[in-house]
Amino acid sequence: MKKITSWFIGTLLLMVSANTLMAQAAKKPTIMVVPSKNWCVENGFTKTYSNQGKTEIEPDYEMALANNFDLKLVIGKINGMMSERGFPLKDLEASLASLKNNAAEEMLTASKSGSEVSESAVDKLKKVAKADIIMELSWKMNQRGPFKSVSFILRGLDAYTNKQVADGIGTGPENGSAAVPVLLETAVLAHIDNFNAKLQAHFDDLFANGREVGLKIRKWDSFDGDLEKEFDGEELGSLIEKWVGDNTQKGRFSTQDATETMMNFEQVRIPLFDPNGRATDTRNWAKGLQKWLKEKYKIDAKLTMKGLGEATIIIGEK
Amino acid sequence: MSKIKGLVVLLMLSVLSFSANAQNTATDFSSMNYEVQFIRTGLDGTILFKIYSYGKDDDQAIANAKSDALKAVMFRGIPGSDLVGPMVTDLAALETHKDFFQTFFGTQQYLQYVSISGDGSVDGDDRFKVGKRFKVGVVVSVQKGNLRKLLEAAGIIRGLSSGF
Repeated sequence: MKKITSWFIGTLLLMVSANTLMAQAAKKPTIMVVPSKNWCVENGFTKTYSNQGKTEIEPDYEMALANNFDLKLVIGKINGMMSERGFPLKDLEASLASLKNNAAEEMLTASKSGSEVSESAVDKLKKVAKADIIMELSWKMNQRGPFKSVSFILRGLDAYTNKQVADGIGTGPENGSAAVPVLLETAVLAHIDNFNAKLQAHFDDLFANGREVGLKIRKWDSFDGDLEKEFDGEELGSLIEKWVGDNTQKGRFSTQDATETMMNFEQVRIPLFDPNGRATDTRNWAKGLQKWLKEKYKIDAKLTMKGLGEATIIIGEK
Repeated sequence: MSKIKGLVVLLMLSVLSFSANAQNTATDFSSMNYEVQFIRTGLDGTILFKIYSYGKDDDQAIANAKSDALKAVMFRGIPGSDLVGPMVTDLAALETHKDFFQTFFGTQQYLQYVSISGDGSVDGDDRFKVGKRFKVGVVVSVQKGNLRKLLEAAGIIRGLSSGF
């Protein structure tokens, strides 16, 4: 009996420590450097397309990488320095190749779901690269007589919210002899540490308050009822709001808009891990709501994503 | 009797304060009596700045400049540089990691991370007499990249990827 008890306790302890170990293994955010739209326009690396009759300009990253040596140099330098800090970057070129491969598949998915959600090329790139942070880069060479200087902007954007979470901005000293690549390298060196200090503060906030995402609730016309339909004596909208409150870090979210047909939640702080200690993302988190609606109220719902940080649940059918 | 005791304590404090001003400040790692002026970010994880330190003579002030330079990078930051904020953001680390800092500064381990730029001579314009002390300004190069790695390994600061 004693043996069985000690074996049982031992197994239990092992299971607990394995679970703890799992919980400690967190998903490291991925980072990708892209040239800013402004830089692409200034340097002529753009493509135009017609969006419902209106001509839109988009950065052509592929052309920029193929034609601009300085861009590759700066990305390479940033990559080296971030790797040194334990954050190797997602390669923009490789992500563009994946994007091309997925293009046909994406079209098929869109037509099958009938979703009206439209995504820009940047959103699509984010979705393929699955980068959590986009380091947006731009620079400009200034010339005064024989002297050259570089104005440099490095912005860290949270791919989930598009909010700026870190920056390194400034104009370097004038130099009459240094070549452009040297000036650019110096500019990276002069800004990366301050940038990383701000990035660290953002990560600390993530750990403390969760990841910020957005959630939209919509309904299909075929759904019998709306968000005011009562279940267990409470309106469906209120029940969803309660679920969001119960499943956010410290209950943090704000209901931006709520009518009988739609709800918009903003600044929804989702935990970095699910209750099993596994790293989670917006889609997995929103799937929880989809599952809860089905299990508790027998309501089918479709889940669609825009980028990495905006989930839409359309209730009524899949 | 209590007045005499008070006078003795006061006298002792004055002596200690005077000796702290004149002595090697490396042993007193919480001493922040220096001024810094950023020059530029060097290659390979270094930072170049001018530091004004104090000592009972030139040599002492120059020696103090090296330890003060590391204290500036770790505890204060260098205004106008890529290290605006200090590496060690939580100054409670001075107490919680007292042993580390005592070894780092006490055994001159810090000398691996700092060097005086040039031949070590002090320009006339960078040498001042302040009361009974000397204040000198020298250009130093601090290996901030290696210093950060050391502090991360010692658990004094968090690495960018820690927690993930």
